[in-house]
Amino acid sequence: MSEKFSIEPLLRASSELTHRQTSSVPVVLMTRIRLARNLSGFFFPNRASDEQRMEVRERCLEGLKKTSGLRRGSCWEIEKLSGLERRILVERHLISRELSEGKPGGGVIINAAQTIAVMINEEDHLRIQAMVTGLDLAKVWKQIDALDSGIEGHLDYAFHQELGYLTACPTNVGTGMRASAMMHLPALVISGQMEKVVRAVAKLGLVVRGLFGEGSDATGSIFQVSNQKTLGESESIILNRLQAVLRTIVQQEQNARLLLLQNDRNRLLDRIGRAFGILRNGHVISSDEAMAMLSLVRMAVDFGMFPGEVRGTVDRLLIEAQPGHLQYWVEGELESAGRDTLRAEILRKEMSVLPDPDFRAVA
Amino acid sequence: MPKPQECKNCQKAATIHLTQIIDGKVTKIDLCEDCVHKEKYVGELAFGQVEKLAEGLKQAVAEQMTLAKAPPCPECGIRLEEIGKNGRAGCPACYDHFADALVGWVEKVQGTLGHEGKIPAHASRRAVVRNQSDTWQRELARAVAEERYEDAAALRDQLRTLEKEQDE
Repeated sequence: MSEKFSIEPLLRASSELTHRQTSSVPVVLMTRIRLARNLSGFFFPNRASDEQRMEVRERCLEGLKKTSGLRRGSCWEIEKLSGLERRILVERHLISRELSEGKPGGGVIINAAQTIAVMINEEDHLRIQAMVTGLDLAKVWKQIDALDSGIEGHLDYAFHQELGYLTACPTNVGTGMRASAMMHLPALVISGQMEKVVRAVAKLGLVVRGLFGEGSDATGSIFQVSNQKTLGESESIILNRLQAVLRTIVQQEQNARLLLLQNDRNRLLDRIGRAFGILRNGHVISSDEAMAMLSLVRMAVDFGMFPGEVRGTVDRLLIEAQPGHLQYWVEGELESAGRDTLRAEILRKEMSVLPDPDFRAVA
Repeated sequence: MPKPQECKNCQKAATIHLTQIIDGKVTKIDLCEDCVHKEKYVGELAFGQVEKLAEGLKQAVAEQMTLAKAPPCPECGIRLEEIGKNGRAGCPACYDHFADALVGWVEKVQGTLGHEGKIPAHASRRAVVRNQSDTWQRELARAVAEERYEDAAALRDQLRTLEKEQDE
């Protein structure tokens, strides 16, 4: 395949989210922390002119490239990427929709394992992000804390004694930290308990969002659960509370699964069997349908109906079956109908090597 | 300015504009304050709500006026009004310049004030280094002017070491 995309090496490399089959766990797809940081003495991106944003980007990149952990990272200026390339980065959770649609001066630097991505000139000058598969807030915090201190060795952050790290939006001042877990909660959705969970979690100062953050749908029963407050509590207190809540949600989901098996066993197995049938034999599959069907197969892996490594395959396909990634395979724009056919073809191929689901696993 | 609407019953200026939705049908009625009470378009309770709403609006207008009156941020030139509209400050200095309003907003959304947790570790050291560097630069200039070349050489070496340390 020609190197027609500048982000091609990133797609060919084995990354944390697409190739960590073994570390993939039930219910939690990944844990992520982002820190909002700004340079002192510069206008926030929304107020800055194109020239000022470019200057900030240059300064940031200079500092970031000197920082341990990012020295061999790949950087891109967003306006030099095609719409398709931006879309792929969004689908891989490396940049946000806001950055991909933003004004000139946006940028991103990504480490080789794709566990760290620092966005430049999104809502803030810097949005430092670190992620791992599975649930491990402590590990991600350790990584991002060290990275942030490293970056601060080269760049002057805007900081206020009372308000902490200053951010463009007053809702982020303080720690500037949003920690989140991407959770796969099909049983809570099927049994109609998600609303209850959302309300309970809100009372604890946490928020539930869809797969791609604010305003997005929870396709494939995947939700992001994160902290809301950023001021008045230290990072460790916020993280400990979040960790406890996430554990409880995992428990709730596991309970809901057991209840479904107990009370509605045939219907649940039927759903799983049909999902596998569609993925293995379908010829036209939309993005939403693929997510919904893959979601059921992931739950089947958790039940032991497929070998454990299939979970990693599902996690990879949840990303690679999205429109941007599909168009990458055909090296160009593809209209919706063509995408659905190609998606079905890829899914058929991937599923053909899997064994049939072993329904006796939940006998 | 659009022509003020007249009351549906008399020719006085209408100050109450009711939108009623009954069985999915929307009707708009303009009334003066007297006729509202006369005709019982709104029940006692509902009227209480209207008054409450009006009070809320008055407050919002007053708030808008204060926002509009505050001078723009001397750093980035943004007006408080605009920050209120977009929910985003223009630059770090806005938090000092508009402290009264912004700190209030922060408290409202965050529920508390006072930063806890991580603080930048290097910024203060860098400030010290910059200060030191400025002092030595001035001394170097004086030494050169006074033809104290040995002192000047020593100062130059000190400055070089400082620069190197900072780059590491």
